Amino acid sequence: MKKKRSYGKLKFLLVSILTVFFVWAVWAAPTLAAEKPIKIGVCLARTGFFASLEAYIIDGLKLAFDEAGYKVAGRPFEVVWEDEGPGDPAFTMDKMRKLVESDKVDIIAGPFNSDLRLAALAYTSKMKKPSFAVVCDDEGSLKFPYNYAWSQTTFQEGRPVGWYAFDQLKVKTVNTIGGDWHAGHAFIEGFTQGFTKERQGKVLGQQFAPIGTTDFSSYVVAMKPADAIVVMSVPGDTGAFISQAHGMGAFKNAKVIVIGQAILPPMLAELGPKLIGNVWQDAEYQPFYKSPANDKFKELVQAKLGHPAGSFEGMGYSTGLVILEALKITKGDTNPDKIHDAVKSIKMDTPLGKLSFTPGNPDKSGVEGIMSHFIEVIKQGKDGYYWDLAYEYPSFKPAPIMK
Amino acid sequence: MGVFAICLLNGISFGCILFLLASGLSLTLGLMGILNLAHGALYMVGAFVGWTIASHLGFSFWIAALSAGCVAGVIGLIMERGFLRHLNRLPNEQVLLTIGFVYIITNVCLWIWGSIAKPPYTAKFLSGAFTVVGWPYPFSRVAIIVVGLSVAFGLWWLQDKTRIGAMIRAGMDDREMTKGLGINLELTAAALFFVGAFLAGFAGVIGAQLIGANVGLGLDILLLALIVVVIGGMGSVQGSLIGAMMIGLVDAFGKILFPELAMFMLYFLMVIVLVIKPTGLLGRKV
Repeated sequence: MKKKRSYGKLKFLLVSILTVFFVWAVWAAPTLAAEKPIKIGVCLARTGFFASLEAYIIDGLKLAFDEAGYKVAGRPFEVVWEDEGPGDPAFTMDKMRKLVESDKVDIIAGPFNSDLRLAALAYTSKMKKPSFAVVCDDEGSLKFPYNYAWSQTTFQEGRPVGWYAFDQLKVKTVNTIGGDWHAGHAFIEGFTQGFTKERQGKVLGQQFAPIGTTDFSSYVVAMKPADAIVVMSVPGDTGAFISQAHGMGAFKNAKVIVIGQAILPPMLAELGPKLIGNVWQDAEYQPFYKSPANDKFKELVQAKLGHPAGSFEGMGYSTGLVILEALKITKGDTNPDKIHDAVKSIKMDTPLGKLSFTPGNPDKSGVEGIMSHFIEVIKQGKDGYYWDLAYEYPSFKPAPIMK
Repeated sequence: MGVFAICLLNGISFGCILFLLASGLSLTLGLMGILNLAHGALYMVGAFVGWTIASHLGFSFWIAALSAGCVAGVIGLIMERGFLRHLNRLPNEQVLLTIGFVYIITNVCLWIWGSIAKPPYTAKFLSGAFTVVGWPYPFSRVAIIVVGLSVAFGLWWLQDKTRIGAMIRAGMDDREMTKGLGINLELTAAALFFVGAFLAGFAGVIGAQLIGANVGLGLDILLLALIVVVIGGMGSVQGSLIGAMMIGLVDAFGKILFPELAMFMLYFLMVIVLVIKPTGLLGRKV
């Protein structure tokens, strides 16, 4: 007769092993999760027209991430860099899907181009991925949940320019000329609200020129006599308009106000002699803004990049700071709802000024930065022409669009 | 009255820039049957080279213009000798190749000069303005008109009054017969391609007095040049001049009279000409 095998000892051994494993898993899980790196996806142009401009934003982001040592709230983080492409939404969407579904990033910064950003936000908000703008956002972005327009919107950026024109420059009437694309209209609309509805100015003529317009002379001729000309377009068109208008004597009796920081410092070598003493422009970042955060940032840029700090580096660096601050508040938790609450509670100093946020809407949309805006004026120094700080609007709150 | 006069002058000056650009395109298309879509990119190269020489390094504006023309001419010659001559009578391939060149040239310009636009620049003595019917009018625009009309005269004289011009016209009318007569049409075509590319680069510097230089210029200006060639007709210097003037004046007056329709009016004009005379106003049958 065969002896019945006893499985008792085997069963005991198996249960013991499983128990030990279970206890260890429960105890070790937080540690394992904590060691798993946070993933930040950055989608900015590496190819195409904006690539060399966005390279400065990328440099700024890298400075912020390097400074943090790629660790936040005790957790390591890694950055997945992707190319937003030359302006094709289909190309950008492929990259966004890769970041979200394949790389499984926790947070996204970018894209830069407002058209691509709106396309991307429709997807990332559906996937509940917190998304941070890298420059002033489009007004349409505010309807998407989990989107953070920390540097406000193009519309909001135009408003303080209108106040400054009326209050400080004593301008009562203007002609406006904007680029005929979405952001161009938004900037001018913001200026118009600030100048005519929030102050008592008058816009005598409003024109929009398609991007890539080569000859602005007809627009100059169509302008009525006014205290100032307000310009907003892409840098190339703005430079061409200013040069042509100056040649036609349009600035003899009118001040020039540029919105959107369209005259970049390298352009001042040619435009400086034409504009000095008579032109102002708004700026998101101003190197002469006095704050410990800005002083530290300028030293960092000079030390690591070997040149003075500029606007786009400032915006990239500040974007990095905001993302990392949100993660510090959540103690490294990447749950989108916790990040959302963390962002709303942020109060920090950035090179662009003191930053806090609006509460937004119950559906987690509409969260926008409350921060400084600057007005700058051209000065001539021993090294040439540069933009100097003329005025600051601190803790400037966004306001609804007035119909 | 003042507004009318200024718009007229502005239209003519802008038309002269378009003529300088479109004439080269028209000649290469007329003689060689090559639609060089990189022509606008050569204009852009000229604008950037001119900026480097005239604005950045401070040399004479006219040296910058001639140098920019030579640089664009050499690039054009490389394109023609190295690539396009192997695609004879293959228009689709030519179009694709030249579009590829647009991307290459644009990205090289981006790499060398960056994405920040270069503002307009001009010769120092052209910086001022004089008064026309109460309006200040820049000397630089007058210079554009003078240069444009001078080049137009020079090209007309070359095409209609010289032996080389006769060879070019013969080649446009009947390639085989022209070759049969012992004329080296390949050499003529290569030289013409160089001249066309030279004109594009030269136009880049002349036009930079208004427009400056930026990496988006290649395609923006090409569209206008194509409209000029369609309206004026391929292979005709006079046609290019008439087409360019029409576009310049429609652009200048359209922005004042019908600002919302200004861009549409250029294409509308092109459609009308195509319907009435498909070969263009003074075009040759290719």
